[in-house]
Amino acid sequence: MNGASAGVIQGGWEFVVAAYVASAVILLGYAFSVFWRYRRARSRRDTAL
Amino acid sequence: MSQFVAALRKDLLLQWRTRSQLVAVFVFGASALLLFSFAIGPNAAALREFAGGFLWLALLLASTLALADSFESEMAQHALEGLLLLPADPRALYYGKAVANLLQLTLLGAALVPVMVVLYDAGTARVPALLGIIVLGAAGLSAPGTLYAAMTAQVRARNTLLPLLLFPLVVPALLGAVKATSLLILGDPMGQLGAWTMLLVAFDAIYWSLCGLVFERVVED
Amino acid sequence: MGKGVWPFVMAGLGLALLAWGSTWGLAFAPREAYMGEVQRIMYVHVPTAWNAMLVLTFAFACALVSLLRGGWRWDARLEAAIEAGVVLSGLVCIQGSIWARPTWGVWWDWDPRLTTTAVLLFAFGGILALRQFVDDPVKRAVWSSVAVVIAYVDVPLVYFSVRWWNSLHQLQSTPETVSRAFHWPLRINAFGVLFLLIGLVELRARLAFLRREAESAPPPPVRVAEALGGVR
Repeated sequence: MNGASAGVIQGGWEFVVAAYVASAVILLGYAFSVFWRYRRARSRRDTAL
Repeated sequence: MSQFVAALRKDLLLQWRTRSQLVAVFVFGASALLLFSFAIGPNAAALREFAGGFLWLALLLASTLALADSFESEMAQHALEGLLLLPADPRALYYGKAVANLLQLTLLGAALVPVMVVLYDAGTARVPALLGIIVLGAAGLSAPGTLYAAMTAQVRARNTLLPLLLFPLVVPALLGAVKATSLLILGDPMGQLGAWTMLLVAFDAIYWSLCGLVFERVVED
Repeated sequence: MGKGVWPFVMAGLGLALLAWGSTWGLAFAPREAYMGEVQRIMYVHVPTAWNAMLVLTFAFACALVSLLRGGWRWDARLEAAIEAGVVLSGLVCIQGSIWARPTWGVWWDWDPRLTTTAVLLFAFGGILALRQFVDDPVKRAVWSSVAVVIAYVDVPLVYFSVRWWNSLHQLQSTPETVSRAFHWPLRINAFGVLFLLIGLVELRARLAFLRREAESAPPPPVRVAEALGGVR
């Protein structure tokens, strides 16, 4: 085994991608969730008497 | 001070009158200890190693029953509001209830020790130290537990909410108690018992003062 | 509660910063010596962790103000901060788990900071549940503020107890120093999450405020409703 790469984690792009995708999904998902709930509450308040 | 003593007397009297419930809670704890041993299997060494952890898990689960029970009588016929109408400091009410719960949990823990010794072959020669750890651990459960029991007794889904709120909170006390108990059972070559005891003492000091401070806001109307 | 569009601007700015920082971290930052590509997870993990702690500290501040001074705005901000804190804590645990797998070969390595975050996730998640089950708004505000104060005070205790508990077993420590070359994507992403959070917490607080208003709004008088074409 090449001494220079001994102890180095090889590859691992799938984990990096998984982490970034999970972060994007959760952050964007939460952002949209807040946005839509806020808009629904605003429209409900504006049409209520 | 006399208010505290009066409150404590009231709660101890309540517990004495409902002592059959305490027996039932003990049986629950003991059967939990039995069931936990099935998770390990008849491996004597492993059972001994994890006995401390299982003892405190059983006590933690049993405490949710005991703590919820402690406020049951206050909820019936609006007894709690009646108590608050008295010109008594709510803190005295809290500490009376919390100390009564502490005594009850200590009793429970001490009663579960022989069950642990028999089922897990996990005894210790240092009995006073073990009793001390049980008192400190029970104190860690009863301070926030009494506060949250007062809260959740007034809402629906109380049986789910109390453990939900309590369990994450008492992690430091649980870790300290489990480690200390395991060290007493298995031996303490590196002298770590003191550090874990200090953690328990710190947790207890912080929460016994903090919870007493905020109790009034939790029960006011 | 506020009405301006600045939260949307903040959130948009935050997302833009995150896109910039993440691209930098993914494509242009150099490969780390020992961890290889997996190191790049740090560019989202560390900013998320910082901001999770920050928003929970903000929740603690809101709880104190709410208890000492009262006011529905602070309760609304409290609810928003708790929810954001739960979302971020959950994300931190997911990211940490994904990072641990290639690094240590296990999905969870009981790292003290990550374990503390998991405990916080359950503690504050429980407080969100508490808010759902309490119908009286005043009690809801007081009780969740009390619960937040109690849970937050627990954080250092949880951290130190887990660290002592873990130090007996773990031989390697989780590398946390990031060398100089890697600072910029980290900082950009940190500000990205921060700005996004500021915008979202403000919007979520407005939502909480509106809901509470609707909760205590009296029903419209019958005649007026009929005159305006039926009750909604």
